[in-house]
Amino acid sequence: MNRHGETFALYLHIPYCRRRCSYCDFNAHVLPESETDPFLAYREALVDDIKQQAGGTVTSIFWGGGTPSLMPIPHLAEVVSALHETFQIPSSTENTIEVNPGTASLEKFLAYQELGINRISIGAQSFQAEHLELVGRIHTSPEIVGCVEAARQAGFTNISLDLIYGFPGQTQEQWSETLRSALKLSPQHLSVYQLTVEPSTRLEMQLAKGELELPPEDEVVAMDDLAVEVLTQAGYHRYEISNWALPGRECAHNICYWADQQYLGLGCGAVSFLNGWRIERVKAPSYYQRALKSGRSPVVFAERRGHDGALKDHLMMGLRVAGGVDCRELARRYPGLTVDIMEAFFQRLPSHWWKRKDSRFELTRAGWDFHSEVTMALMDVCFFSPATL
Amino acid sequence: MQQSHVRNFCIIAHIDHGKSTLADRILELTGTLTEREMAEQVLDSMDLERERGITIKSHPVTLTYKARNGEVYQLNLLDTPGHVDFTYEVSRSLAACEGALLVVDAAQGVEAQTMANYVMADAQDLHIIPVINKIDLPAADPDRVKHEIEEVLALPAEDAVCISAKNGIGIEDVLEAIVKQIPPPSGVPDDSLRALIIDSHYDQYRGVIPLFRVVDGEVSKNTEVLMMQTGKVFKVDEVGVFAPAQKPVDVLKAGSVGYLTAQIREIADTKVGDTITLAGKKAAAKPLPGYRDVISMVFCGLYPIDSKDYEDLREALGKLKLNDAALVYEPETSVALGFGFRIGFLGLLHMEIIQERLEREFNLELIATAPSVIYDVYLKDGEMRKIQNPYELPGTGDLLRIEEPMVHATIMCPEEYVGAVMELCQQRRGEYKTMEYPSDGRCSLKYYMPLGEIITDFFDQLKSRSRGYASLDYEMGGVQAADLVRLDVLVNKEKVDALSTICHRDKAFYVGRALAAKLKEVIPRQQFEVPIQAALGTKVIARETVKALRKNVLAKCYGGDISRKRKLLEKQKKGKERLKRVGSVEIPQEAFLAVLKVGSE
Repeated sequence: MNRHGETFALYLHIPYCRRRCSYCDFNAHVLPESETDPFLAYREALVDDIKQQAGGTVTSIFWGGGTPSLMPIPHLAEVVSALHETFQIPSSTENTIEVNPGTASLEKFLAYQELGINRISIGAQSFQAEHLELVGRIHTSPEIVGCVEAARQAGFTNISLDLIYGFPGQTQEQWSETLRSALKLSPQHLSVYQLTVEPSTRLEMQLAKGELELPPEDEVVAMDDLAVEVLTQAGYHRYEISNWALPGRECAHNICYWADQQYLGLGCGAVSFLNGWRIERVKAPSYYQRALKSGRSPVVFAERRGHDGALKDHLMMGLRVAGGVDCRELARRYPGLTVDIMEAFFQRLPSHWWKRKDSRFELTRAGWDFHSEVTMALMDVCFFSPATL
Repeated sequence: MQQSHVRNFCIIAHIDHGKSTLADRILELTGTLTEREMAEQVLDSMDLERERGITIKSHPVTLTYKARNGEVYQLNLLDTPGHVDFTYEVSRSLAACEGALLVVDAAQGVEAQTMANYVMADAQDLHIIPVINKIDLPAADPDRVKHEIEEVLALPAEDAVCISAKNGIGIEDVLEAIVKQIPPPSGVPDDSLRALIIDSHYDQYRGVIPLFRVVDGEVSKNTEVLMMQTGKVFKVDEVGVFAPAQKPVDVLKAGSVGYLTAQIREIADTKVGDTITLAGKKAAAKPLPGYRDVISMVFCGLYPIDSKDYEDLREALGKLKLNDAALVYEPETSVALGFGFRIGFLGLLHMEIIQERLEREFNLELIATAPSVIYDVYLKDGEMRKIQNPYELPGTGDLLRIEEPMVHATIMCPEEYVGAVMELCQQRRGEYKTMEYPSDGRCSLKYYMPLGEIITDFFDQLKSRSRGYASLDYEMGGVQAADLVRLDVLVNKEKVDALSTICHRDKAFYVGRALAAKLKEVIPRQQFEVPIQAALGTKVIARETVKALRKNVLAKCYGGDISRKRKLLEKQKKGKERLKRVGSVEIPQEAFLAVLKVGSE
């Protein structure tokens, strides 16, 4: 596995949280209460994992979680130095860390600067105390403001906010207020997610028991519309279904996912996509640590999709992005694919869901709203036996 | 085995009174099976039967028993179904026996099906041995039950055998009673062969295998036999008994129950109820009395979800028909559902079982329409039509009158539920006939009711209103004129023939509203708004709207999510594939059965 000549995005997973949010189904674990520092064992494992890699050039770095901003700076510094020992990391590389406003401080941000981190993604979620509390966030609305100000003060000029809409009981006015509060902070980037009920989460249980009720779909769609209107007016452009940016401030790391490019994911539960292989590491931090300590591979799953499957994954991701996919570019990766074949597929969809310019196909806003339907339509066809189209 | 040492018997009981468990114990005690060989309830061999804990088919087993008098007897046990739907199967088994064990639960006592089975067995002149089961239950009261048997059935019960099949208590007493009380078969061994076909099944390698009771004469390998009704002649390859697996024997003599193989290829060549005799000059002069013809009482349409599966469905039905004479079907076309079959069943349970077997054993995905009964429709031009599909009911302009099938229903329940049960019967247009108290605290109600009201969720309702204590039995009771109308359903402004239903005019508005509301619940949202209307003729009497789906999109999808989200959508898509596309709307199976649920809410 010599990757010296290769380039890829790099994802680093920090699994611990102070508390688990009710909607969360990520690979996150509540910080164990113990005398010893739980981050120490994890950091050691992560450093081992990094050092076993064969090198290569990193195009972007993303520290995700969990709550990576909980990781004490000395540990973070150890990991960063291991990264530099192992990979080529050009100084201009986008380097994002997810920060929970309840864990932020000026000192931390200054330290992040030192470590080469140049983009801050803040999990704000809402500016309404009632919704923050409802889903079990550990921070308050004023803390979000303080967090952004501290980051600015430390010199960060590339800041993103995550927002969620569609909370149980949320009104249009409340959503409008959250959007206004967010815009007041002038972030360069916003991720705006509809609240999703994932299986086996606390939220799912509360809804099933009838303790909570989601707003009706019409309300949620109205919130969609409001976000589109307000954010467009404020100069942001929607470059992916849930992502908005000022010009030039799109998240390079995430774009790499949607463009189906290579990425290396390190840390427990992290997923890599390299040379056509999708590789997954073991989820539980304890297993991950044990594997690396005893010299075993932390990889527990690997799949390689066939030609047709790989193209479908590519389309599923690529059609989430403004500008969609260019069929001629795709044809270089998937020989045999033609513009006519692609056109035949899109003809199966309602005409107002998509548009085509030359060899480029993209979804319209209406198409984005039914992206799952488009993905399911993909499952009906085989691009390399055109009889199905 | 000498004929004097043969006993043919069956076990009859109300459902759940322990018939199959008793059969298992008898098999065990006679050494037919060791405990280890025995999966629970051996005779219920279909997966479905075991899962539901019911017997659907008759199974024969030949066992050997050394009685207390030192003599060895051959006992032929014919297991019978306990559910009201399978009365027909019971009557077939009874015709092959000289005696019956009537099993009654020591706590629950005589139930509606106990009575129905008793009446049938009595009509066949069988010797009936009352067996009181579950005597070790805390609630058991054998004396009360004996009294009930004498009161309700007029059957002497002083010497009833008291047992616990579950715990193996009293099983030998049952066997002794069989040997002592049930007469040996009375057939004439030296006469020409006459054997009654009780059942048949299909073996991939050996063809159709009929199961029969030899009444007169004998049959062995190489005998040339004639099926008297179909006129077909076959040369016997093998004769045998069920022990309980097929076991070849040299000869089957008068009184025995067994099978034969003869490379019979066509299902239709061995009709259940036909008489097998010798081919050529030695043929018997007269066939045995056969069975009454089965009458289907409940009909529904069955359509493949994928129209490509139509031929597979036809083939599957043919195979099921082989050992289920009660199943009748003919091709049918629906505007909404395409090509399928209209299928006649004995009852609702029979319908469910057939549908499940088709889906499980033949891997077919099906849509079933709501069950319907057969109506006699008299037209103004003097014609009478039998209508089994509601959609075929002509418009009121051409109608003179409609007659619907009626049943005499007997419901038995504890006294305290009489009020609730009577209320239900009235709601279902039942005409009260009589009420009796066969024993303390138990009540027997008789109603004259439209069959069409019983085939909805009547039985479920009966059970729920009596906390499971009420039991139901019914027999056909002719037809009666009624003011019936056809209620149509329009989905997205298109009439969906498969959703039409026939109901009483007085209930039409209520049913229409409830049906539209129910459909709104079960039809998933589509890309566009879908109006649902219920209409009498051209008059819309209820309207609901399934709102359009506004979005279907995953909010988050990053690198780590791809496999998981793809699988999530694959699952979502599987769910959609279970829907039937009618016009431009995708309709789930529940929608076609929605009409069954509207009576109760």
